[in-house]
Amino acid sequence: MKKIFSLLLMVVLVAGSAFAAGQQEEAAGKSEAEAQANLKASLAIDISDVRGSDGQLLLMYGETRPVPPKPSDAAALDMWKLEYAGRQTKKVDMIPSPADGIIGKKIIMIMQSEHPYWTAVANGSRIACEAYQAEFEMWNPNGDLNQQNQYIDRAIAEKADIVLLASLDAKASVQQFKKLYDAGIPAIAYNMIPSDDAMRYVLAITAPDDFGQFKMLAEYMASDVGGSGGVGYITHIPGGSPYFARTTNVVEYYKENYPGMKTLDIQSPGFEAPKTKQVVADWITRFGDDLTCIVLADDSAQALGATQALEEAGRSDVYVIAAGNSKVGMDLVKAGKINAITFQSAEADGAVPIKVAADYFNGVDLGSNAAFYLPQAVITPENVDNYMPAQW
Amino acid sequence: MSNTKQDIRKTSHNSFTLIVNKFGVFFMILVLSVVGVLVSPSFLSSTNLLNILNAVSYLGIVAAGIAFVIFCGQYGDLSAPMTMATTGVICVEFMRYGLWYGIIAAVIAGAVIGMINGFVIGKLRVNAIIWTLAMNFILEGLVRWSYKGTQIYPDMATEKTYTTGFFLPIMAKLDPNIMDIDLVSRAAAFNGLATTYPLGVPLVLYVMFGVMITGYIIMSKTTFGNQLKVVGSSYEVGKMSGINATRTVMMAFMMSSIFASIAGVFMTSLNQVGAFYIGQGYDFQAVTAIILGGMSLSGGRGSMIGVFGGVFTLGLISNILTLLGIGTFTQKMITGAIFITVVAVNAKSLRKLGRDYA
Repeated sequence: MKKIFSLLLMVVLVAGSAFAAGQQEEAAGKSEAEAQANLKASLAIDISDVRGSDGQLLLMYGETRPVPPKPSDAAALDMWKLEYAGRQTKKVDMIPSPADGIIGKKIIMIMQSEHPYWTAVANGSRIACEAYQAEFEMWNPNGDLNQQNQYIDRAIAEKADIVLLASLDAKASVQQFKKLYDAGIPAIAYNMIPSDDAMRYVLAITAPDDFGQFKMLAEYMASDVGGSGGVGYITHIPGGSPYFARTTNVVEYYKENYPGMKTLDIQSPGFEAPKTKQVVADWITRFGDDLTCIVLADDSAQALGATQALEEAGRSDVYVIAAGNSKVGMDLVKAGKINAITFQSAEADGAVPIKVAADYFNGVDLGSNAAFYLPQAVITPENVDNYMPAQW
Repeated sequence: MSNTKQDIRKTSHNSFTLIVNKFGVFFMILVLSVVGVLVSPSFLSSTNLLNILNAVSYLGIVAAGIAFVIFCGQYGDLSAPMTMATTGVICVEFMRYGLWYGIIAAVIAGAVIGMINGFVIGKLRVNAIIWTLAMNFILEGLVRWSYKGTQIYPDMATEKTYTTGFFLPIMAKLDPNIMDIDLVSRAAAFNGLATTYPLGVPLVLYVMFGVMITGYIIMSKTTFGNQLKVVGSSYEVGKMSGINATRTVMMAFMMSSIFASIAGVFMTSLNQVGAFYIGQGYDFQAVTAIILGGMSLSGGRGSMIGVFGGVFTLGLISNILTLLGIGTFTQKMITGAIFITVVAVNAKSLRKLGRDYA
């Protein structure tokens, strides 16, 4: 009796196992089929006409400049390291793409702080996620690194499919990206370039190519003024990457390509119109007609201060260029008070990482040192209307 | 036999000490002016002097207000930056009814902020630095929350404009026609505030002098000024002398916030945008100018003329150092060194005059 019972039990177990295996196979087959269908639907999404609030195309990559060989000169090497940060990092093995499509994926974006620029960044991400039919959550630590670290833990706990992170601290970013990598969550660094150590764990970087676009702007000004003039520079916060990209980078570019573009002075009055106004007024007193060009790191407060000082002194002959395309900056370009500004779309800053995430989930090979820059352009009085209304 | 300890520290009432004590900051201005003339022949040109004054005019207005707070012994008003930002935003909101509506709304908002600060500090005796810092955070949170992290342009209104902000949603509900107002011309008038030059002089400079003169009269020629001085020297003595100390402190904070709101309106006009970051850093810059001008942080001593001297000195230092081609970092170090020197010389002269107890 016992034997019969044992035999029956074995038969039931074997049959049960076989049935479960069959079910699993069927489920796997079904899941595979679903994944393929999702991928097919994802690849079929037409993003060619997804536009930002300014009417510009949002989901496109800018030019990624090739990395030149390392210079031997120490000062040039420092600049090279800043300009091409993370582009030649030896990375750990990246988390392979499931290649099952972007649709329905849970994307968590962790930003830096609350600012009109970041509001526009989030807006760009939302537009992109809607286009790709992905789930989107945006978390704002408001400048608090501890809060940002907690958000990393929360993203892991919530099993995000991918995390987009604009780290608040270059050093802390190593742990942040490693933590995500160890949890099996791919991460994209957006808006800023993390340190080389952090880059080892980063799937891709997306950011404005500040160095590239300022070379473009510098070239535009130099050709317009005939390659010679006295240049005054108002900088970004000294020490940060935008300081080097928007000042040192231009100074070096002129040294190499336009020796006639002489540096008169470099000042850092911050982002305050009255202080910038005083510096520019002082320059007019000090340099007189030798001051022919001004390079500004910001097209809002700095631009207003500089242009007012020039206006008060009746110096409409001074050529002014600036970074950014805020409403104030574009209004000044339109009014002919600034000659050119860079096109740095805040919405694209938020949308491009979503496109990279979509490419990743859609099985596109991103390459080992993936860097995707935002589209670049020089905004001038002739084309400024194409970029209106402003995003922030 | 009396138990009162006598102050046996050495005092000296020579004329140099008296001059340093009374005109310390103007002595500094004289020295800087000589350096300026040596640095650039254009230093004394009317254009350059006007540029210096123009650059510090916003600071001058804020400093004139905070001087009342320090004069009445309350250390400072750290809510000044966000008062500037908040009132600037409110001005932009109300500007659509007309420029004067905007300005009046901003000043009233400033007065309310000052009244709250003054009541809490004067009545409840909360530390002024802690309370005004907290108020600054509260206002910043309010502006950011109300505007959902965006900023307000005087000449721009989208479909979202009337759903965010302090008063815009209420205005839109009460008067739907407000959405049809021609903002461009109103904004031009508002933005023009900072770029208007009656008789070739920036309007904001007239305002700064107006505010300083008003402040000087109130502080030096009125009963309220005397009350401020007494309360600033000793809150308890003031109270026992029959002065309504709470009201006096409240009025001082109201003056500070009203002046900050005037500066906020001009600063918002200059930046052509209402945003939470307008006015950042003006609190400490103003305190620096006030201390340079010889006003004591412990209250009861100093004058509006000195405050003007402090503000002008900061402008002069920046001007001369830029003319010399000295970079921003070095400028900050030199400004700091001058600040320490002036405060030390002032303190020493006061010590010699036996007035360091006040």
